[in-house]
Amino acid sequence: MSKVLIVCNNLKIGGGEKLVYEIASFALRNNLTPVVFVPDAYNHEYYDSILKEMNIQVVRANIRNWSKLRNPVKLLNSLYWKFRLKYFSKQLFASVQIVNLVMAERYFNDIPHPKRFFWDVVNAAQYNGKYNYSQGLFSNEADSLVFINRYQELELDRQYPGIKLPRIHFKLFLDDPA
Amino acid sequence: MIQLNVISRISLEKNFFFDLLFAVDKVNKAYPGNRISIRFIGEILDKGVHFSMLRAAKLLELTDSVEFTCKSIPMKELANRYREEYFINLSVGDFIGYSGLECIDLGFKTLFYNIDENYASFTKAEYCFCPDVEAMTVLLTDLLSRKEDTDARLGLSNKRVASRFRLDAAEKELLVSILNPEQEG
Repeated sequence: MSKVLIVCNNLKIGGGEKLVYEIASFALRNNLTPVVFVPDAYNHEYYDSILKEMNIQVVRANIRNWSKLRNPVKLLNSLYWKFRLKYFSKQLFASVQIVNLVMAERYFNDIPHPKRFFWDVVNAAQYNGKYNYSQGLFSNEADSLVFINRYQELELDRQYPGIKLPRIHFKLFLDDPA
Repeated sequence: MIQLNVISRISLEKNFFFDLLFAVDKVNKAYPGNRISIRFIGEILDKGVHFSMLRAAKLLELTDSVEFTCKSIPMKELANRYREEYFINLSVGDFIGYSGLECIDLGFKTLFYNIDENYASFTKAEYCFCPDVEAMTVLLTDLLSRKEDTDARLGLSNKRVASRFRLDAAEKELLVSILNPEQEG
């Protein structure tokens, strides 16, 4: 069964996190194996338990912030995952879904994969009309942008002209199992 | 009394709360006999925003009508407690997030406040969307003066908005192709 890596900032109560849950849930229902990866954060949060009850693997490991990592188990686990994601993600996962462009930018070089999908989950109005992404976020034309509303593409193109990444127009969803 | 609930983390990127306070203040001053209260349900992520909201409520003499839970509460836990109340969610044009969708799915009467004036024209098609502060004020006034009729219109509008978020067969297929694309080479 194909594995899908879903990368997110946290699993608290929130819209982006709910999207992670829905993507993972949908993947499971469609004979895929989702793996939810939360880098550099170890707090147990709202969706941790929910995903665990669904037997969806949640991985929390350090990719970046090593300076305060003292726990030997966490250290070894983090090294393991950092290495796996950096060098073997193509073999391990059918795709990498990164929820939120901030996360895509932060971990841009840490999880190389030929099929990465960056889910844009915000709009410019939330940031006073201007995003803070660097142009480098859009430098790999093998990555795809996934939009959840009709305004995001216009906003990105206005601020970052010349984006050549493939665009997918999708939406927020509740996948009703019934 | 009309009780409004706003489900949102109190943070800078969701900081349109002052618009809501302004609308509530305007309606309360126009209709002193009927009061609108507003409850903010969400974790405080930005203390500066929270403090400013408290200050604004005080200056507008709304302190008794404004409440903060200071923590996020799963929507399902609110279902029985606040069944007869109203929920306000933020929208970007006619786009709503999960909290708005869940509100509707749980049967709450939900209003949407548009946060980007550039997309105000996209909100006109549905009664439950308020393109700006003035429209929010009008809708709140409707709630006070014509509650039953307004509730009915809100309910129908909410159902239409919610129906947009189910996946049809083509969308399910697209999502599968996003998650499990064919790999080349």
